[in-house]
Amino acid sequence: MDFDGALRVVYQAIDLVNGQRPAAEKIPKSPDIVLTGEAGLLDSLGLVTLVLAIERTVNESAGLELDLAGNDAFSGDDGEAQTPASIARLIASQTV
Amino acid sequence: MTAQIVIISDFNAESVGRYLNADVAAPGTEAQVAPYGQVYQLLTAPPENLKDATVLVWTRPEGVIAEYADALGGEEISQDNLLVAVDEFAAGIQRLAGAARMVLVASWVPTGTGRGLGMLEWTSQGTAQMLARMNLRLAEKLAEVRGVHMLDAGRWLAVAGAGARSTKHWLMMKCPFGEKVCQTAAQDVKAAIRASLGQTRKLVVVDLDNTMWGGIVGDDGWQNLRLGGHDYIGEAFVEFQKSLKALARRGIQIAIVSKNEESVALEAIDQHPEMVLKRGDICGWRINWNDKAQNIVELVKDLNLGLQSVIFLDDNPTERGRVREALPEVLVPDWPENPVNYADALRALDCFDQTTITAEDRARTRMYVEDRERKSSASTATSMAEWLAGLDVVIDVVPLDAASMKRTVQLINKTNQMNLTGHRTSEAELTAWLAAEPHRQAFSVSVGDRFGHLGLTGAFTLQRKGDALEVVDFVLSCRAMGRKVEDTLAHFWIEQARAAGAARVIAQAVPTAKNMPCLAFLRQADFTEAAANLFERDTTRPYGIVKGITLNTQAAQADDETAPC
Repeated sequence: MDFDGALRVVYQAIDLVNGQRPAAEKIPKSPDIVLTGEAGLLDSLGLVTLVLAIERTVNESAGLELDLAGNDAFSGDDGEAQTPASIARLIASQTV
Repeated sequence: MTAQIVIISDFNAESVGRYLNADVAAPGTEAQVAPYGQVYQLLTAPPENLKDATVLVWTRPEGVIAEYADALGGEEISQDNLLVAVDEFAAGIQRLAGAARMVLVASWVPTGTGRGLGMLEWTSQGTAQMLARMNLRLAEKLAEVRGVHMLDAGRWLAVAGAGARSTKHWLMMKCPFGEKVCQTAAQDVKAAIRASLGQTRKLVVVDLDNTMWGGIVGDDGWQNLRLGGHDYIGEAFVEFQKSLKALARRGIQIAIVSKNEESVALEAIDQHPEMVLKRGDICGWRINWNDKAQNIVELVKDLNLGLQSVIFLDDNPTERGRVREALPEVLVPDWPENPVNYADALRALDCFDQTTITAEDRARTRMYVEDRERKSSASTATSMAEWLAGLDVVIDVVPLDAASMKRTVQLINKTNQMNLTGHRTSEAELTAWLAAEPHRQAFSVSVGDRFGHLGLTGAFTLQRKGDALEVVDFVLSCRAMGRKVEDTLAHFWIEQARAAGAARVIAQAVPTAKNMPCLAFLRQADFTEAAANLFERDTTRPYGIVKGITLNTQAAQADDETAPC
């Protein structure tokens, strides 16, 4: 999956997470918005929801068994996957 | 108004709460999720702060019924013990119902997709049969409990499709269900709350051409419409009409607003052999070339309903947009482009939920058709008094009993216009209010005339207040208005007060956005407005009864077996 396709998948997952958030707290679909870590917009349930939604979309559309949930990239402030763009890069790298 | 919701679950149901809190559709909701895994603690000793809350109890069958968990683990279990455990769970729900405004219980669904015993799953050893028996037993037990309703969780999974269950969800979030399941559950909870508040849509206004049938009847002729036949599109319109008829059978009215020549459209309805909906299924119509929004306003006025009761279905997005803009209270759902999806779109709407379906609901279409004939008769009478006298109106006023409780509460909760206070209630609340003081009474009112029986169409509650008899709540269905029923009830109140030695009848009205007709009645009736919206009438003079009306009464007796509940 290329970067643009992966970013679309991340945005779809953000749509799903936004369905659980009040109007004033919707997450904008911007590549550099910080989602995870201390300054991130997602709490732990929101993050798990996002990751599982991404996995399901990728696995159903590409017939893969992508497993992002255990990836260190999502762990706290040190993780590299904190924004939609960085998550998309991670997906692209794992679905080559 | 914000509805409080508490979710009790043995799994992490936080997503359901979030969907509820994010939903902007009325009524606003404030959902809290109780710490999961404390189901039996909360059912054994319900917290005291639930009085105004709707409680959703959603559990995994293996999380609350140990015998079922054992069966999933391959153990041989006692069927009797399984049902005893279900009964204990139902008893806990009953305790909860006594503490909450309303309790919603999700039916149990399998949380996994395993094959179990395969071809033996529907034998007594199979968990599929056990789960069905558990749900049936639970439904039977809870049917006896006021204020408790079971929700069909099986549908939530069906709507969610492939992502309904997820082992990874369970392992990571301690929730066995996918997001779509939680979202659909939240929508059903919201619909149930709307139903409990009397916010059910009661009238479906439908377009004709390319909505009720395929084609333009004025151009094509009724013989050439796509409706049934060996044509899947024609079959789709038949299917859509069947789903409309199913709504009519449970008390939701169907009306037509269409830009057509009336005679041409009615000929199609009467003559087309595959029309499922007949004239007798349709409570009213406006078939002309006028603005549809204006037609809806006139039709609704004619039917004595409010615009908030209406849903409008039309294939034309421009007409939908016009009605949506002109009449924001009318629900105008987006509509599929392909007629194949019409029936499913209608059946998926959650605006028709009702807390009960009564015999009156099922007979409502017939009542509206009779009303149409009644109005036709009125137009030929020379005066209102003459028409009323010839109508042979019979009004039965009887103390509220268990048989009339559901319908009475339903009526109180959905009557807007002839409603003294706008107060809403539940069976439990009304029962508790009556039980709190021995002098409190509740009555139901049934009305009939020579054209037919309107059924239970009114209710009121009375209590002694000093030297007065107070009318606390009073509602009368719009279907019974205009026949001097309200004046006849005023006569009854005065007679009740005189019999009880009360010097006055008082009624404290609470103005709402919609109960002007009730205030107008009190102001023009033989009452005095002693203070703002406080109406009173001394009992020294009798209150006359309109000629031609028969009033049958059965006074309440506090201590006998037929006492009001």
